[in-house]
Amino acid sequence: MARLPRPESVTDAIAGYGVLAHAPKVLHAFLGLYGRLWRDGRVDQATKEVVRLRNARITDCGY
Amino acid sequence: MSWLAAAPALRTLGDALALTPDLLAGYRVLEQALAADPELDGALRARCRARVALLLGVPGNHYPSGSGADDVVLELVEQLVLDAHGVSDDLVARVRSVLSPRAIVTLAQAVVVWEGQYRLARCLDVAPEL
Repeated sequence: MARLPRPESVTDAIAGYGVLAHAPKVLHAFLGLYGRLWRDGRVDQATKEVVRLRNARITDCGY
Repeated sequence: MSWLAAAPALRTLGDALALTPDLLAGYRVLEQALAADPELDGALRARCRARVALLLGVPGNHYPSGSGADDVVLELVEQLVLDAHGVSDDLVARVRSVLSPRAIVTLAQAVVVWEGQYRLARCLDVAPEL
């Protein structure tokens, strides 16, 4: 069970991000950076995905 | 000196991220959003950042003293950095007695950003300043 309540008074656009929507400005800034990491750069998408999977395995996040 | 080949030589994480200006800009926007959240006290935020730096062996970080009420927040910060799976229901409940859900979310995001910043700086052998 989530340890924080679902945020109230958030727009549908960010409600899908769950508890992160408690801090909308932080969430938007995070998504901006995250989008750049995935969308741009010289590292191809396949390599990024492999790195993400390795990171998930090391941190046992279940991704 | 960083092992990243660049001229002039890279000294800070800001120098390194400037090799990808969009990334640096995104980092700064996120840092500003974290710093501007009014629900997370600035002094507490500074203590938490110093604790993250201390845990990751970043030299020269002043560790400002604070109130006892901050201790449970620092306990969460430590657990999040050392082993996130060790964050318990009890610990979160105690943090909720002193911080709002929004402040907890902002703090957790901030810890992740600081940790990444310090680890990346260590990896690139540059100072962590942006």
